[in-house]
Amino acid sequence: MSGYRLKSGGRIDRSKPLNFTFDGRAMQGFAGDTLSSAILANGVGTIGRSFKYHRPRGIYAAGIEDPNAMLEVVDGHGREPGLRAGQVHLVEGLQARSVTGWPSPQFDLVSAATRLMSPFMTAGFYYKTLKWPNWSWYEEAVRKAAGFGAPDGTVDGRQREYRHASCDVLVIGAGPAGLAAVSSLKGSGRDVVLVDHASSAGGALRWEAAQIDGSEGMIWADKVVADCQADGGQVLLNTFVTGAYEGNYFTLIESLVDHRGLKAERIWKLRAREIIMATGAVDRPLVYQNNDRPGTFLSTSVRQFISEYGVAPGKRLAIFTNNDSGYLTALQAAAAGMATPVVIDTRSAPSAAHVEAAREKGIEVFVQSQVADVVGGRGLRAVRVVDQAGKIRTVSCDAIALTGGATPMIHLAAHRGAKPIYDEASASFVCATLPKGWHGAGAATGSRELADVLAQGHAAGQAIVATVNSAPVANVALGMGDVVPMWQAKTGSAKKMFVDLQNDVKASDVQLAAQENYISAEHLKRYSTLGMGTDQGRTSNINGLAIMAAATGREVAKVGTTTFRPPYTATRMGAIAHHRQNDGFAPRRRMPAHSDHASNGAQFEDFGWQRPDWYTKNGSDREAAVGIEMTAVRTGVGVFDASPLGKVEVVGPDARVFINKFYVSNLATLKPGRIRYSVMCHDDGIIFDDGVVACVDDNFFLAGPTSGNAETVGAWFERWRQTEWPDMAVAIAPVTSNWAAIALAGPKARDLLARLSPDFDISGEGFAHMHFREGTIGGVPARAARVSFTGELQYEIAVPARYGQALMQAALSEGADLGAVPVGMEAWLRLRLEKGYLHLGADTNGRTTPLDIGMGGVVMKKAADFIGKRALSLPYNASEGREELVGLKPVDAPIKIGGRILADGYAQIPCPSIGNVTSACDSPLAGNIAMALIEGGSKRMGEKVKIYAEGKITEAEVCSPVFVDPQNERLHA
Amino acid sequence: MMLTAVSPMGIAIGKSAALPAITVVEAQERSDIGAVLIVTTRDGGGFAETLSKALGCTLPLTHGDVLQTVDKRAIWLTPRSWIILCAPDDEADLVAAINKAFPDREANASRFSDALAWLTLDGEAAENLLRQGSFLSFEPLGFPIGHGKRTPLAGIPAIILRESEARWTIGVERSRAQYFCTWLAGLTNSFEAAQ
Repeated sequence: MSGYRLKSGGRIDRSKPLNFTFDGRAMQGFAGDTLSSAILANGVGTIGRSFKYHRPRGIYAAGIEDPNAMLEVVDGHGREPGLRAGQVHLVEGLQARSVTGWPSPQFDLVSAATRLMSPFMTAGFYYKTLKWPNWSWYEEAVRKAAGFGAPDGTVDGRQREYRHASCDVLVIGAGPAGLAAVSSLKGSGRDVVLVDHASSAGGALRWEAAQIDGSEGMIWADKVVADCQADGGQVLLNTFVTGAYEGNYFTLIESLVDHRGLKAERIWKLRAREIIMATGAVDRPLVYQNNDRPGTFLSTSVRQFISEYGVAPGKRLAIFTNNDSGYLTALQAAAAGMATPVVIDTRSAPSAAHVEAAREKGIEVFVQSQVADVVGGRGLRAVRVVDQAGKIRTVSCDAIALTGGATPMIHLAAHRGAKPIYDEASASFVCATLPKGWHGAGAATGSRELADVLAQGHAAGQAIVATVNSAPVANVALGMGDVVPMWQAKTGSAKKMFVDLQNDVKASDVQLAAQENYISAEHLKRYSTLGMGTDQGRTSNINGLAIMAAATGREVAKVGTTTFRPPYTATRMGAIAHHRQNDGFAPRRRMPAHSDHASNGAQFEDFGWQRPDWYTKNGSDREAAVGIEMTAVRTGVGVFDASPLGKVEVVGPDARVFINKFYVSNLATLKPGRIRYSVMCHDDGIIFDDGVVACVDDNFFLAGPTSGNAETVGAWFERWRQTEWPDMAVAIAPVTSNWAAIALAGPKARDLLARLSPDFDISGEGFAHMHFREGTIGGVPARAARVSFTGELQYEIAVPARYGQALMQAALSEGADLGAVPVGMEAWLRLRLEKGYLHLGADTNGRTTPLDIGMGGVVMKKAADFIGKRALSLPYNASEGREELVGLKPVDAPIKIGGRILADGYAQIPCPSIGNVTSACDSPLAGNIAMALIEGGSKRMGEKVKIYAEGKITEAEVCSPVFVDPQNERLHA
Repeated sequence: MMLTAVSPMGIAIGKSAALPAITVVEAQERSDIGAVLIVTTRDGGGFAETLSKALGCTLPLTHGDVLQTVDKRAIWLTPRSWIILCAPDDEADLVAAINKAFPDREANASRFSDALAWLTLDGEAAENLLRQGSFLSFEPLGFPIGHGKRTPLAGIPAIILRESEARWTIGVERSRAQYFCTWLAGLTNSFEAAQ
């Protein structure tokens, strides 16, 4: 194969030469070239090796449908490890490199090995073979062999921008159909956004010879675009619509290119009232023996290379077709001066006009013929053509153009759930029904002739709003014609017929999948990797599905398609990340005393908020520090930042009745200044949150949901108030962020609190366990609750958040001689485990009810209704054998969190489970301890159970979950 | 003992302070803004008159409305709630005044000065910065001067007030203030903003 630059033609700017390199070789292109066209113009044949068999591969298509042209690209703004060459605008100084083949794609040593191995590397071979003795034996080598380059871990210099927008009409595709729609909407007053991935509008008009409304196609296109802009419309070029979502919400990625390369990307999030899907189609290749040799091209791409970029893909071009469009390629090639010896047509009766036009140019036409094989290893040298009678002729050529029909680009409608159906007329999958507000037009609907395409585009515009604009009129010399499908050549070995070039899936692989009963489209995809490449199977899926249909005796329509998912085309992670790097990556929540924690060596973990897990100030490693923090709480005083704990004010004359409907405990009797612990359920009786509720006064309750549920519980209250109890005189004020909360826990907590200048009585009698006070501490407004999560004497002090840092500092400095240390989350959670207190989400799961955690008595005693009450009264929820929360003590080895409790009578896995370890730790006071949810747990006290964790089976004894101070003497101190 | 206050960004308390990391506009942390959250147990319109008397400012009753007096701004939040912006030192008095006017807490005022961190962005580029993180229209027609909106911004809940053509005051939850400022500062590199 030897592509070259044509002496004239194309839409490139020949006055602006651009220097670039490919695999270190200096080359030249022109402004307006893509990397594909420039590489082709420089005569490069092999640009890489195939994924599995390391076969040589060349440029195959002009756009994103090319399964071969994945290259590493370095421009003036950054480096990308795997870009599709047809997507890259050529700029001065650009460097492109192959990412497959070693030491080079032309001389690839791996290919020799894969040639020997290829008979064994059939579809699914990795599933069958790479599991013995262990996948990890192969993983490194497979990972090395797979993929297209690797990111270098550096941040590129590209800029990112977000835009949010809405419009009346989104026209996707600025080809003839989309432009006809825009033309139809002219003067309608509709706010139109026209989007196309190319750098200029026109679609196929950029390379097809056509007259519209008496003008050359591109002149008409430019006028429509100018009119649209004059009308207030927005035209986004170099922009892909990457996803379509609910509510006609779309994501778009706009590329902004300067003289150094891709300077910036802009992500649009756009919502549209009406959508015109004019996304076009791509050529479908034909499947025959060795149809992957460099020099093989999609037919439309050949026309595009010639007429848009002024590049001839080879010196002698053969065309293999099953429709009239192949003749258009032959005629364009001949007009450009390429030798075009033959059109190989599978049909018996092609269009007489097309045949005659070809023969007038000296092009031979073989009807009822197919390509049986090709000559040439690293590049095409000839094709062997077999006719109906079995006669084989060899035709010398260094390039071949393939067209087996067209594949409509229906991805976006399919993202929205539109079901593709097989259309016999166009021999392709189209969406018969579109989502609400969508209008299909052009090749995306299976249309092939320009007149039809324009009429459809116009009709789509008129369906949105009737205008006086008339439909554009096309004038083309020769049409595209109907497609007579040929899914697989009759002659040749299926083991050499490539269906999916990116993933090296052959016709024989599809047939093997059928033999092994992977006959659904989804199974076929996963078993053979058909269509799983970054090209999303644009050129391969339909052929693969049709071959599957033939192999299973079904119609293509019955095989169906796989699921289309966003993004429509490969999207840079950087574009999604926007400019958010490091701390700006995600919304992190910081506690008011964050900087103080940091200065104490806090090791932060994200618990919804950035919270100290442990402090290096307390120990050089986690276990040492946690041990010191726990000991401080048990023997002196620990200072814990509890600011994220929820704070939801429930106020009004009906506040008491209202809040009593949410918790399983009876809050109707809670007196002002008192606190009660409880859990709340969803209406299915499953525990949803736990926490304490303080009665501030008769019309004011302060709910304290868990940190992770603070917002959710506030919204839960509001939802029920609005939907079920709108007549209740109650209001909800979520105020979590307004208050910083610092907990003082330990036998010396009262002494420490006294030093912080409270203006209220904090004696044991004056401020007893489960009491609440308002006043001042440290001279500022404060709310204090005497509650305990640790089992110790404990106060939780809330002050306005601006004072949180000062309160934390004061507690540690004033308590220094009392042994006060900052306490992190890990120690805090272990302390509650020692006491047997529940950690929501760890010790509960999506099945746990209050009855399962020992609150059955509380539930039974509550006469008033509450959310979940009815569900808890159902027999299932009270049945024996439910998982109940119990304690565990090890018998022979430490208990591991997450361990499975083996069913009675089993000593080995596999076996049924009767529960799992929900929490476990090493306690300075109680040794290794754990909690577990075990079926019928409360009736198993003293029983031994076997636990499987981390590959080992150990034994533990079921016990009470309270390991420290079962008499509650400490917390009542 | 007297605890000392620190602003959300750890700068000065009680006055506005420049945020130099945000370069394309003039950005300030506004710890001179205090707030009170008012909620009512029934439709807010029925309480507006009494509340207005207790507060000394009129409460708006329409979505997006912000009513301003010399020392207060009342922001319509929902049909049953408002945020009153005031001097931080006035917060306690306003809470006391409302709760005195409604002893049964049919309407209730909560301290809210520390729930939100307020920033002011001033400059032509401010609109583009906001557009990066919100789907709202910031055109004068969609977001008139003197209006306020509660909306997700940069992935977090926010209250946005338009004070003039190019001046915006934004309230975000205090715990997310650092993130929000980092997000804004990061936009300094944004393609359009840098133009």
